[in-house]
Amino acid sequence: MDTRQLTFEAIGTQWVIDYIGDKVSKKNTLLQEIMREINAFDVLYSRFREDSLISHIATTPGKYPISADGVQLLTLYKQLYDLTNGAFTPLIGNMLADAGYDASYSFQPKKLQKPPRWEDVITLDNSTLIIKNPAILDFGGLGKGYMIDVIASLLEKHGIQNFCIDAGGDILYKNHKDVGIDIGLEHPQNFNQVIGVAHIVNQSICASAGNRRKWSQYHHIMNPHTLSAQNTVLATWVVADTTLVADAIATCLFFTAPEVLREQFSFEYVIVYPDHTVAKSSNIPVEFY
Amino acid sequence: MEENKTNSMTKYALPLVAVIIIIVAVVAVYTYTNNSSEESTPVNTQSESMTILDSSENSQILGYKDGTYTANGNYVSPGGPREIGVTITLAGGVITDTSFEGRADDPTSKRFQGEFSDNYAPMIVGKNIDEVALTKVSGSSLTPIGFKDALEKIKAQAQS
Repeated sequence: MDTRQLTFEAIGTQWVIDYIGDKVSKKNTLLQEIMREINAFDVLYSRFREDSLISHIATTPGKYPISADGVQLLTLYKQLYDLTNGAFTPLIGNMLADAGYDASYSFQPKKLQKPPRWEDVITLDNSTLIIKNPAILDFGGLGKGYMIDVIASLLEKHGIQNFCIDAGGDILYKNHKDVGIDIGLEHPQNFNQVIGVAHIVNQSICASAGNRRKWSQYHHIMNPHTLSAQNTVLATWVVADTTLVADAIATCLFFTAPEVLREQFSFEYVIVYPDHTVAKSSNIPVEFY
Repeated sequence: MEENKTNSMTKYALPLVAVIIIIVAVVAVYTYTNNSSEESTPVNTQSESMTILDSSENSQILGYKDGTYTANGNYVSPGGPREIGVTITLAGGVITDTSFEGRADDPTSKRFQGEFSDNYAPMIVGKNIDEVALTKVSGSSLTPIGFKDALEKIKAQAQS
C-alpha cells in the first residue's frame, strides 16, 4: 500500500486526489473512470458547454426527462431557495451571463435583470423537469461539491478507504482509522496567509469567497435582489458530512443567518466579515490566527 | 508568584473593568437588537469585540504581566440581574486570547448568551502559510482555469 496521487483539470478547476492504494496500474483506469463521471455530469448540467442539456433548455422551454442526480440537485436548490428568500437559485444563470460571466468569458457587463421566480420557470414532476420559460440554469452553487461526492463513491467502489479529494480548495477527506487532517483556511485577501486551521476527519470542507472569479464591479456571488455582488461577508467555510451540502451552504451563508440554515441542515461554519471579525459555530475545531 | 499575580490583578483592575463593561454593553445591545430580530447583529457584535482586542496596544504600553485573567460581568436583563464570565490571556503585553462564558439559568438569557458566545471570537490577523505545517489549504485562490486566462487577456487588451 502506497500513497498515490492523481492530478487533473476539470469543470474549470484543478483537482488533486491523494489516496492509499496497492496497484500503480490501477491509476489510469481510475483516472479514466473519474473523467467519464465528470463528463457525464458536465454534458448535462454545464452552462459553459454549447452541447449541454442546460444550454438547450436555455432557449427551448418544454418537458425534459432528467437523471436522479438532477432531481436531487434541483430538490436541494429549491429547499435552499426557500431558506434564502430566493437568493440561492439556479435561475441566477441569466444574471451571471449578463454581468459578463458567460460561456465565452466575455466579462463585458450588460444591464442586469432580476432572475425569474422559481415557480414561473421550474416545475419538477418526479423525474421530469418542466421549463415554462427560457432560462439559463446554473448549477455553480453546488455542482463542484456534488462531483467531489460522486468521485468519492467511485474511489470507495474500488476499495479505496483512505483518500483526500481537493478540487480547487474544496476538500473531502476520508480515513478509516479516524485520523484527522489539519486544513488551513486561506486568508481571503492574502493568498500567502491562512487565517486559521480547521481539523476535520471523514468530512468535507468547502470555502466560498467573493475574491475569486472577480471582474469589473462583480464577483460570482451575486445578490439577485440587489443586482450587485454580495459584499456583507468576506469568506465562509462550511464543514459537513457531504461536500454537496458544504458547497451549497458556504454560498448560502453570504445571504442567510447560519441559525436559519441550521434548522434544516447540519453543518459547522466559519464566517469572516469585511472588518476581519469572525463568527463560528461551537463545534468546529478551528484555531484562528 | 501567586501573591504577585493578585497584586497585578488589583493594579490592572481598572482597565480590565473597562473591558468587561464593554462586553456587558455588547451583550446588552445584542440582547436588545435580537429582540427586534436584526439579522446583522452578529456583525456588530464582532466589531465591538474587535475594539476590545485593539486595546492590546495600550496594554503593551502600560506593561501588563503575562497571564490569564478572569473576571465576572453583570448586567440587568428584563428578567433581572444576570452574570457572565470573561477570560483574557495576555502574552508579551498583547491580548492573545479571550473567552466568554454565559452563566444564565433562565432559557431566554441562556439563549442570548449562547448566541453571543457562538458569535464571540477575536478578529483574524492571519499567518504566513510557510509558518504553519499544513498539508491542505481550503480557499478560493485557485481561480478557475480559463476564467483567469480570459481575464488576463482582457487586461492586456485594455492596456495596449
